[in-house]
Amino acid sequence: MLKRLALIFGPVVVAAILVLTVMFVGPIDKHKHNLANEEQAAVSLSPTVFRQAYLKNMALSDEDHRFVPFFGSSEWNRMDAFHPAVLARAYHRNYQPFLLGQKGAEALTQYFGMQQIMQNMHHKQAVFFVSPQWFTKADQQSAAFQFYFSKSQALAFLKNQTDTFADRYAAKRLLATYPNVPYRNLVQKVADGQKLSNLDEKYLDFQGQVHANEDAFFSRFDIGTNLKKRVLPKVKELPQPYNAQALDAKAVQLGESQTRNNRFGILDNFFTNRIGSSFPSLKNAQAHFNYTQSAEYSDFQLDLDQLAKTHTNVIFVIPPVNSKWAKYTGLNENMYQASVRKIKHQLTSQGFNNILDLSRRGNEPYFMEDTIHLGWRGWLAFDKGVAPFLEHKQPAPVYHLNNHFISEDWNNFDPINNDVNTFK
Amino acid sequence: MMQGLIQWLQSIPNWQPYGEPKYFAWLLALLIPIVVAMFFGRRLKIYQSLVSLGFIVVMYTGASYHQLFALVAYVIWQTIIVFAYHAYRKNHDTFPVFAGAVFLAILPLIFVKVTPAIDDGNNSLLGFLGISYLTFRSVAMLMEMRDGVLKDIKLSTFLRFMLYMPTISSGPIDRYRRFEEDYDNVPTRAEYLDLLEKSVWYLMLGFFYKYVLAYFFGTILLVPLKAHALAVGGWMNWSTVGVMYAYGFDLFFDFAGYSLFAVAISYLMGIKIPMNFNQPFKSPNIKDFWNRWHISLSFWFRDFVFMRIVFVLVKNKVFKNRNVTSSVAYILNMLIMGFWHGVTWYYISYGLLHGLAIVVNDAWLRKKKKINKERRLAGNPPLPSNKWTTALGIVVTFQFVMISFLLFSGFLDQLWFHNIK
Repeated sequence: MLKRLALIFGPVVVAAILVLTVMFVGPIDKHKHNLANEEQAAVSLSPTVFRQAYLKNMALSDEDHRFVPFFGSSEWNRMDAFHPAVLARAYHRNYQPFLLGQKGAEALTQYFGMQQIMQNMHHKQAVFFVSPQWFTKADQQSAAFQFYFSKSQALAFLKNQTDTFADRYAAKRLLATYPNVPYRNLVQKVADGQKLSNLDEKYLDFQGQVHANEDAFFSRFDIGTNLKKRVLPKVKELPQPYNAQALDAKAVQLGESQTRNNRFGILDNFFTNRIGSSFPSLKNAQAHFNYTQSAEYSDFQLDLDQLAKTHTNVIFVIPPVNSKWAKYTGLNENMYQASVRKIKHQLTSQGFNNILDLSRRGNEPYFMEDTIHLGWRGWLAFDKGVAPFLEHKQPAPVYHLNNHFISEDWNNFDPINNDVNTFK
Repeated sequence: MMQGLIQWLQSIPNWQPYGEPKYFAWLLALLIPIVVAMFFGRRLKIYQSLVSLGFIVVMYTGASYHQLFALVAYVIWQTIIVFAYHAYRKNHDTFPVFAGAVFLAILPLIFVKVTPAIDDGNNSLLGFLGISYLTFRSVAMLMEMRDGVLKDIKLSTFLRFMLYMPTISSGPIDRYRRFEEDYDNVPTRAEYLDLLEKSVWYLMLGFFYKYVLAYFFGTILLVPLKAHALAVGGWMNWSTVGVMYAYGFDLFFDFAGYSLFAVAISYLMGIKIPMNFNQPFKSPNIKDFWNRWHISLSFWFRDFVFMRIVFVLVKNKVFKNRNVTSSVAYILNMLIMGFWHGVTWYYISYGLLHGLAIVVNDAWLRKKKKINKERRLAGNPPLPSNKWTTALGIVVTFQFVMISFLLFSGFLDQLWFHNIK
């Protein structure tokens, strides 16, 4: 009888012990640095790496290898030979980019992602690629936000928050974009300005511990193959040693050979596959686009608030759009430049003075890889601005935040008909 | 008072059956006393009812609290009909009263199924998760009472049967007499150990089906395939073929996984509810498929729809040829099953397609018999029937089933008529 019971339940008990071990103890090597995993994760662009905390923190806390967070969105996936990850490797820079950004990711996603790596951002550097395309009138796409959101981000936010104005606003935005967010009741408390109870804190610690162990266990299974397939082969293509002129010539040569089926300087296969038959209907299709008024401006302020909190010295990069393409689709250049002015005012008026503004260079040949993303010489221009900032010691920034940038006033401020400097 | 109750229900988190690890953890923990008592030959009737009630309530809390009211009203309605007909049937037996009782029993389900079709996709207020399966149970009781095989019913057992927690949302569909016998008797220790052993195995297999395989097919494969198929558009494209297989496997592993959970939990309570699936993709022909796919449903339709139609047709001598009779009955049977899934063109054509397939299947079997007879008379060996012909049958059946599932999925409706790019 006992033997029968043991045969039935024995395997279940063993399995339960294994699961509980993963949940409460985690993998044995969870505190070890694994350079191969770190390097792979840094360029993997897999949703798992982007959502979870473990691999980001493993890389960013590595004292022997300096990884710098590169916040952004879909541009990181444009991995040609001049992509920052390729250049950093090819020329043995003293940093490697840790790419944090995916198609559809915007400021709010970045804000909750920063919560996860807060302890590894203090007094360090970062790159922030801010696209005016984020600042659409229609609200943040909640499907994309929910896709990139994770329990780990919710837990980190709830642990980090100290009931500031920004914390409350972030909680409200979280509830609005993700009504069924994990730990909704606690997020609601933060949004309402209520203090979390001791029991809440204990519960968060418990959940955080279990989640961190699961993260450490599962993260290693979905790091992707970008390093091997898309980065390393391109490293070999680049001229050695570093020579700006040779690189530029190579960029022109590659750009020229890959943009032959259209008059916009767009990558051939992008033009064929992504634009394709919808080409005629895209004429003047973007004439009504407007990036100047958007709730995104307040979300962006959350990012700035978080960067200031961690005293991160950050360089912002503002990209252009492909000028020829913009002309065809009717995108209004004045509107675009007005949104750039608005973003820059928000930055400089609060002490974020490191800005690489590429927004007027969309007409340079082989600068844009497709309609809105940098490629070839665009990446070289990016590198020219960003690499010195990261390679050489920079003076510590002094930030002075202005909460008025989290407001309907600012979201709705019209930079076309008003001088941005009048907004205080 | 009412307002307070609604607020309270809304405040309780909603737990769908077998939806997440937490659900299993709580359910299994609360089942421990039942399992221990069962092991020692006792059934904890009151405790089991309380636990069941708790898990039923959390199915309908939160945003879907109104379903709980619909459930209560529905159960009262069915109780009145079943017991009234039971009282009537003791001394009388006429067709109109029987038909009226069945009609009243399925009336709420008809409302629930028809409302979205005529009210722009809105759901009826009478609806709740599991209404179909409760209806199957009560209608079967009415029919068995009419047949005279079900004579004694008890209110407490009736309610336990109708609201049997492990199967309330999606079956398998049990029969009253079978349930009652299991419920009133406790299995011997040896039997119970067999049930425990199967229960553990079914739970683990269910986890593998639902949380590994169904996740793989339904989320990892299906979602991008659908997006790509819609982006390409047109009447048919390769991604839609991918959607077909991914959806077919997702449907199977999701539902078979759920059914395994239901059976496993039921076994722990010492109730041997029927299995729902038996390796359906190994069926060598479509009739066999319906003996292996959603078995408790297809047997229910066989016993309470198909057989009844055949009976009526034969009794009234509607068709001379019995093959025509059975063909008509098959098509009506499957059409009704299609309507039951929902009043949409794709569910109904799914039912029709399967009805026709069974008719073709039957016709081929008759034809084969005839050919073999002729061949025998001519001194020739019969048509080949070996592992290769079986394999061919399996492949053809599988492809047919997958095509019918693509129809069933409603994806073609989206691709053809609602593809907004």
